[in-house]
Amino acid sequence: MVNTVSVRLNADELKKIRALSKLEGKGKSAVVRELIREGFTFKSLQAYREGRRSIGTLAHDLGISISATIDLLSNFGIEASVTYDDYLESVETLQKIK
Amino acid sequence: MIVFDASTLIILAKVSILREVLVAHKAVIPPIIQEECTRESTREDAQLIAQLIEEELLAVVEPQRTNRISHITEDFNLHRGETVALHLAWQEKAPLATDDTPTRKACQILNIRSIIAVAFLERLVQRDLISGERALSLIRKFKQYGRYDVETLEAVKAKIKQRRR
Repeated sequence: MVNTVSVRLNADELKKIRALSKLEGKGKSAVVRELIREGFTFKSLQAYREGRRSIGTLAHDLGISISATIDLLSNFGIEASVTYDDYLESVETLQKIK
Repeated sequence: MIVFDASTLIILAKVSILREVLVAHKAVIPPIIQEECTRESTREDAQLIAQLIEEELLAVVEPQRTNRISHITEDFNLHRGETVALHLAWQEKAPLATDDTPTRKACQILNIRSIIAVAFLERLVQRDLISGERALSLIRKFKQYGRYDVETLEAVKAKIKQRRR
């Protein structure tokens, strides 16, 4: 089901939507919907990169599997927030267990 | 015993050393992690994880819930799978293999030791479960899927080379 929502846009925002619509040969509504989807993905990835989302939460928000989320992070070149110290701690933990 | 969350399990599967890791270490996951990892059954990593569960190299265990951990996981914006994996690690007094930063931070608060995927590589070489040459050839995949920084991967490379001498 598609809902109708009225949104106030300034001249610059409208100009950008028209330009994208012309560039991609799509209707303005289709362009706005696409921008919302891609904007949501961008914001979600940003929240993940800043450590405000776990990978599970990110996958859930984007409606994709964790495996697909790992591929997406890889495609966007988003580095893991892992330091060399984290690696050393991990190695030490592994040495202690059989 | 090591408890795994979905992130590390999937990275190790994508890098193609999950079987060797599970041969070397007793590993457990809660049912929600099994579901998260095998949901998209057409993916190669999902198929491998399902196969390893069937071969009983990866055990599936349901943990008991405690409110103490639930409160902490809410603070870190963790999803259900990560929360339940933390419960299991806490209950079993076992380390948690996770490559997720908020989950690793929750581990620190709960005094649970955590392990990142690339640490298993050096361990497998040390135990002669994979050759140094193969380990070095897998660094590129760890960069792709684990998304580790250059400093960490260079250090891993150096350690593996040192062991080959």
